[in-house]
Amino acid sequence: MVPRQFGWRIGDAIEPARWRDGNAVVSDFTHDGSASRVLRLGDSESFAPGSYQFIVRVWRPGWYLRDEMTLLPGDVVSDRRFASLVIRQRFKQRLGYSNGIVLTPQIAGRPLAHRPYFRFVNNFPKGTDVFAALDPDALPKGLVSQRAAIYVIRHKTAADWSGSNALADISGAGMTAAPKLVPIVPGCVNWNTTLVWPNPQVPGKYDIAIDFGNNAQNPQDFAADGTLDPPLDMIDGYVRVGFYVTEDPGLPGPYGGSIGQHDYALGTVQVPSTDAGPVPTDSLPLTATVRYPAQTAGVDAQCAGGTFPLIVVMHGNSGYDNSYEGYNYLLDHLASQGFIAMSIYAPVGVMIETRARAILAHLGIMAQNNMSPGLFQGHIDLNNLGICGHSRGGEAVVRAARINAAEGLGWHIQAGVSIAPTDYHHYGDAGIPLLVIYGSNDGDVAGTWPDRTCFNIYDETGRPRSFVFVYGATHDYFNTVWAPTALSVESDIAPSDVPHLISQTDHENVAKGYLTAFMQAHLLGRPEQMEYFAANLKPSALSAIQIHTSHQEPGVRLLDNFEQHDPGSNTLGGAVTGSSLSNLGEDALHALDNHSPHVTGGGDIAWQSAAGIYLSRVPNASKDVSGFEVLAFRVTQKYGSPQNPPNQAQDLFVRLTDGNGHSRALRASTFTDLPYPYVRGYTDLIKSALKSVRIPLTSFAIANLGQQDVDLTNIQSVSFEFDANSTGEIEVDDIEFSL
Amino acid sequence: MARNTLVLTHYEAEMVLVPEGPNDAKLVQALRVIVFGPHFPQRAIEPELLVGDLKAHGVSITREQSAIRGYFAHPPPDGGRVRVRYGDSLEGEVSEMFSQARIRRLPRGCGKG
Repeated sequence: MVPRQFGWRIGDAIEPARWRDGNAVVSDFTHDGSASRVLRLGDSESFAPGSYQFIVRVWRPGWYLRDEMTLLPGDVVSDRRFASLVIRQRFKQRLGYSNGIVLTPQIAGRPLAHRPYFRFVNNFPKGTDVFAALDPDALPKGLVSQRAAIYVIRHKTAADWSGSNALADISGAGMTAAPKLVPIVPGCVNWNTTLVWPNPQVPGKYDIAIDFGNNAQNPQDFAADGTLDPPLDMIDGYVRVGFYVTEDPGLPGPYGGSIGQHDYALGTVQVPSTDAGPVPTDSLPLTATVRYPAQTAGVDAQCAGGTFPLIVVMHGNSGYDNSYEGYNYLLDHLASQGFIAMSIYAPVGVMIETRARAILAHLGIMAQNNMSPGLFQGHIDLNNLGICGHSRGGEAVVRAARINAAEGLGWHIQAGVSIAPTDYHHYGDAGIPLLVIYGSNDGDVAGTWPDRTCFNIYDETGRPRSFVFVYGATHDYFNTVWAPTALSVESDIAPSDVPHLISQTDHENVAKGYLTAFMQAHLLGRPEQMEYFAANLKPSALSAIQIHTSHQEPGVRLLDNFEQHDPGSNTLGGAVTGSSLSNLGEDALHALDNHSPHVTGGGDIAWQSAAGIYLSRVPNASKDVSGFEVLAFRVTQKYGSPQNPPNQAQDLFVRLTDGNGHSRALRASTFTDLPYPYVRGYTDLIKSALKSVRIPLTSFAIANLGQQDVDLTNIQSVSFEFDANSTGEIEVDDIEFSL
Repeated sequence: MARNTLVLTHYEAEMVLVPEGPNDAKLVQALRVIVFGPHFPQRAIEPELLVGDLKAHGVSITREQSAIRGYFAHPPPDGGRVRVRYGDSLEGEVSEMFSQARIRRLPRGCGKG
């Protein structure tokens, strides 16, 4: 039995959980394989509270690897990502209360222009207003007060709460106290939305507490008491963090003024040049440039105190022998944000295997540097490694992660980023969280299906996975060495495209902002930064650039992945029907639309009437979706369809209906736009590119005037209604309930 | 046809000895075709060199990017078009057709023993 770990890989250290007496929770038993066997480990009091998984190893007496405390290829893990056992602390021990539980609803967020009028979020970039919304349909039982006081407080630890339940508001000027006294208005969340912290300037973790004070029925008698008193008072936060005020990941970080630089060239090694075996080989010079948080700026300056995650960047192919120097802007930025970032060399012309082996070779060098006296000794957090690549290097990221797993190398690669990746080999699942960044006007990996679209790398990898599609971006502008010759090398940039390209600086800001946010989320344990991929946050420098994101989590309930190629039923077996539609098809997306860059199945829905409806039924066994956070799907306008007016955004309503006949429809564009495909000079390279629409499920259940609340434990159907525009044609994939 | 045209000027063909087998222990004869042009870009897309419908293997662009070379196990038949292409993005064709008579043979004594 082991503490829960996210993403087990071969070679990971096994550190058993401990009994109360300190001994490791390891149990041997014999099994003849004839029947299932139940093994009793102990009762819940025997273990410390926490989340656990189980690892089973089959061994014969005397087998030499019986006590090997790393994960071996034959070991069985109860779950790679999720906890298999949760031991809870007794309620009274945890809270010190015996009269009820603490209500911790989502409260922090931002107003929306249309229904549901409010979106709960957790990430507020510095300077963006923080709003609080009370759902009048979800107030605590026993509440009679028509007033409440809202406190924005610094997030407190469990120990802090044990010490005091006082609420110290910080939402005034200079972090002074300014709690808001608000009325509670029945009927609509829109009337219970309050700007609670304008223009926050201090990054950190915060909670929002609702103090119902003396719970006086007469509003004039209401008095706040400034303490969190369950079960009546509520808090967005408490054990978890309520919300974060964050620095823009695209701006220089705290080490910006003191970045160290170290270069090395350690001779040449032979590495396999293909994935067919150890030979043939390529000669690989081990050359790299490294940037890191330092005590002062400069070459080989002493490293700043502490340990820092490591990110390795692998370039793609070009005629320049110094391609690896083209990401210095990115290395400097990452170092300013607290990463050790390095760009590594590969010879001109080498293919994917050589580049993947280069990534792994340099991880080995840096691990050695972490052990040996010198600049980096003890400063590299080898449990949090990130890999990034551009073009052929982007595909090498997938390959390196797969080699790491297949060969049991044990590198703790926690995230990968592929910028405009090739896909010569269709390696499939990288086995790590992967972000793909791609430009709509890429003139090299330009979009020829199925190998050179960049979307296939996303479609083929596992979850979690994210995609950033940048309108007007090219291939070579992400590398400053390549940029001056980009327009002559990228032959698939048509002359008519050139005026519409975004600048080289924009490309750099895309890489800096999104790569930093992704690595902060996965290497620094900052999940709030995933809102840059899942909730439409955007680095401030890119506000004028059209960027469309996809994001998909593991552990979803997939209503329809459209792989059945049967438009009459969904993946869960529920019936799918259309009414007033001019087309309802299901097939491989590229077969439905030769402008689709995808390698998955999908649905094609066309309508020529505002009465058009697509309805997908949720079978009874799957009707409770209350454990999920969003209804998500991927969607694009079909390029070239006469039903889509050129250069106009499309829209639709998404309706959830429950078993009691209650339903609510929400406009998709309230959450994200459905843009017209990016039009470029070579029309065969125009892509009907899917993007994610992620609608929080609370949006269907919070109080909205004149709207029914949907019972999320009893969902009967999901439908798309096309009364926003009277004609249109879209492609859809992966309708799912998700975290 | 590709979206863009690659300018090619001429080609050369010569028999060479190349290693083969485990540890490259064996030497065999192969045909090397070199195609010249003003510029062969190094891109994400790997270029292909073709004579007729036969694809060369071991294709590489020279360092100064003014030539591209590839290898054939056996000389292609006469009359094939000599082409270089980068997927459907960029493609060019040498004006003269392939001719085995143009192949420069190995010097005497090579490839024996």
